[in-house]
Amino acid sequence: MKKNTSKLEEEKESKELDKKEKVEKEEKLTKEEGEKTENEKKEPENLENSPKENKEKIAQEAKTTEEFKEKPKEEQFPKKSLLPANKAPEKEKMGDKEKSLDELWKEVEEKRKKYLEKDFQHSKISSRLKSIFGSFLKEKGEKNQSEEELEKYRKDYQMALRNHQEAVSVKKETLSEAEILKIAENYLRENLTTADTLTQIKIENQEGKFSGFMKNHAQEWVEKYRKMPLAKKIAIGAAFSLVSAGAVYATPMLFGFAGAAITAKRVFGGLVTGTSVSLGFEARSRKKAEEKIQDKIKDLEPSKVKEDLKLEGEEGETVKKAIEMERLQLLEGMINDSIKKVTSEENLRIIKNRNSRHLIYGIAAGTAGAVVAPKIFSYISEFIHADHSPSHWGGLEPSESAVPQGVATPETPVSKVPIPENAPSQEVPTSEVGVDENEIIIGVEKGDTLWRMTYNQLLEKFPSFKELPEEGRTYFISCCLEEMKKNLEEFGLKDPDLLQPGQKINFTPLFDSENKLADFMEAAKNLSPEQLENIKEYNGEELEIEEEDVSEKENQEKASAPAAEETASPNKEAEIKTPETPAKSEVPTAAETSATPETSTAPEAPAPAPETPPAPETGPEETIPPKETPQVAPESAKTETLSGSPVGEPTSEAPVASEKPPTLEFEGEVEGAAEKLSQSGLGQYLSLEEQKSFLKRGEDFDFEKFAENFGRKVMREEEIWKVVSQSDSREVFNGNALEGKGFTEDQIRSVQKWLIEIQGNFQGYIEGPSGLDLTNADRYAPQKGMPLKKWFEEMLRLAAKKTDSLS
Amino acid sequence: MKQEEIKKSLLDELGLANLPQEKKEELVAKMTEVVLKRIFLKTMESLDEKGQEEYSQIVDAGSPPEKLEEFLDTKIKNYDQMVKDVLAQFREEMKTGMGMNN
Repeated sequence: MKKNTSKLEEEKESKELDKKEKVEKEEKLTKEEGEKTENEKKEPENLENSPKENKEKIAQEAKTTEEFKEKPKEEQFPKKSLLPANKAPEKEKMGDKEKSLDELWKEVEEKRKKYLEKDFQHSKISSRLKSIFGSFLKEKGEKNQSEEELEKYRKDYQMALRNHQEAVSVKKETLSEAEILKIAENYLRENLTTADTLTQIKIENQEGKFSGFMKNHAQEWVEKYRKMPLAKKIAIGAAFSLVSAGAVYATPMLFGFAGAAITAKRVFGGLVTGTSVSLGFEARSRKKAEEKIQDKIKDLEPSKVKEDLKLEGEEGETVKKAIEMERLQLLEGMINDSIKKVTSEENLRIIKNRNSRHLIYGIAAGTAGAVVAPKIFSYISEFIHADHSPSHWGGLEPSESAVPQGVATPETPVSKVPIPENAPSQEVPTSEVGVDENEIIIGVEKGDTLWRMTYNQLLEKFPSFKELPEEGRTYFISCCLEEMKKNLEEFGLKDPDLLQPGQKINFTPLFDSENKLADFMEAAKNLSPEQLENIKEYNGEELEIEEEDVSEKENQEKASAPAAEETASPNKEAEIKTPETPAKSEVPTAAETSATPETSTAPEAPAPAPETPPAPETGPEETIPPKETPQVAPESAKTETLSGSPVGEPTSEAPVASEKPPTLEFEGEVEGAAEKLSQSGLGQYLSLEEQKSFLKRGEDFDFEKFAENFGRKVMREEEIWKVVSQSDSREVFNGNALEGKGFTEDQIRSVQKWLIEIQGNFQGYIEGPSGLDLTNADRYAPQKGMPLKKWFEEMLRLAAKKTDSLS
Repeated sequence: MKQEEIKKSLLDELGLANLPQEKKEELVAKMTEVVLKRIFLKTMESLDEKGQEEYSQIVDAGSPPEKLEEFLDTKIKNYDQMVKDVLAQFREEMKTGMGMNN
């Protein structure tokens, strides 16, 4: 009887449940239509009348659509469902995605905050207690209340994070890429905040006699770090392999860590002692042990490396791995070559490659050069990426490019970005600029070039400059411009070739650098006959202008624009007269054409001296030619096309093809500096001027500046690579970028120049024998299986075709 | 030459390669700061009291970084390895936090 009753009750309950579910689902439907039914009113009754289990079940089912959805269909709709199967879940999906994730994320932030606060409090309490009771508490194994609370907060935080992660995981299919990226960014920031806070807490809760010292100094150097220019921070990050331009090749952990340790010590030391931050690439302070190893390595025959190089510990391991990498083949035949005299373009290439090769030894030996190891490979990699568009896009901006035009890195050739056409040339009379006693800030006027402005300022502010012969002035200005390029911002520059009317150029730092100016002067006064000859030779004709005449003319030019127009040299005028011949801007500077990693060895012909007669510089119809500034001297003097005045301001149309390779001589170098340079692997990253400086100054080389420039380069490359990776390389390859989209002839020529530079600079890599496996290039080549060499040829053909048609 | 492993930067590893450049730079700067702090902390922890005293003397004397570098090499065995470990731990920590090691 009881059983029957029970059965009846169950049936009744079941019916009621069915009824309830039916009603509930009908209700949902009617709600959607904005109608009320009587069923709604009945619902509470039904609930009340239902058995407890059923009520809970119903309530549970109604609670979340997710659970509802997860249940078997039969369970959702035991008999007849009036509800379309997907109706409810779909409804709940709407607008819920972001909201719930946002809410969850807020929770994460709240919990994290609480946890970190608690951790901080706990650490303080713990520290205080320990200072009073010593290790008594710990020995007793007592877990005080604070610790328990901390544990709770930590778990809460972890749980919140997990919840968010799970929610993201569930919904990731429906999230957009931007949303996912944002979430990832949040996660990283979250991690960093937590990691940073915990580290800070640990530092602040150090115990012992020197805890105060540690805290203070930690804080001190953190502040110093924070005040560093971003570029320097990036440079350090790069040495830690936290950032790289593109992929880094070959046993990265090995190189990265070898370098990181040195970097850490350097940065750490620099920050703490307040001297400076350098990345420690240099031979400035190679330790004796390292020197010993270096000496040993020098005597090694490559073929005997395996047998003879008996290095212990990490160095030995490094060597082995280097050998395993088969990169030691790069060393073959290179060890005994002298790098002091480089007289041909081919040798320039060799010296670069040698730098890479020596770098391997450097790494093996654990020298400071190892720091840059990742970057060496990064740049090689970057070069391979560069088939798309490395940092030498110059004036060519891919459509929708994110690369800001006119932003030049120290490594970016000055003339990359064409100066807007149709800007009337006009010399700025010095009197018009705002110069006061302490600051030399000059306003840019139409037609100004950095070269000319610098020239004028030197004439005015640096009396010795007037005493220099023309070649010496060329040299001197080149040095100044190179110096300015090293810290564009300091001089109020963004792109030295893209001066905008109204822009203020601050020459103060230049004239503040008295020592440097003195150095430049010294060097300018002592140009070798060969250097002088080179300047003349590249000028296309004998420089017969009398120094005094030139000075006179230039002074006149400075005094007033019209006067200057009349007295300007033929070359200068020719330059103004031929603004539409952008080839002039394509003449690479010495820095570009010689030893700089990316831009060297591009053979450029000296431009013929313009035959056009003097003409006014200003005129509405005139355009401002992008003026290539000799980046460095005296090489610049050798490789630049020099105009007669003022002092060899480069002009002319330079065919892209080279007739005379730049010569490179390291004169007056500190003994052994070349070796150090080579072994450091720095050659890849130093401009020609920097290399010269290194060789002349040896241990006094300004690594501070170098580190900053290096960081800028990394930043720039990251930026460019991002653009490149997002662009359609095939489009570029197919020449569409060259054919359309409003690119100017200047821009096309810029690409052309870049291609030649890269081709020349990295010929060994392009053609494969120097070490890089070109199968890797396939990964980035626009067309599968196409050798880079072929790609370069094809691109050059397209560029030539385009420029021909434009001409 | 064999095709070697291609290593991405940490940001790339964390799936953040497509972040805007400024954000990437900001994050790298921040990461570097944390890493440096950790190296600092680890360095200090690796020195005994005498070492810490010597260290503070070097710093107070305003010695050049080279001297400090030499000091660290002498006093901390396998300093390179120590840095390596700090970096590796940091990388792993970031990746774990991003749910990549779960």
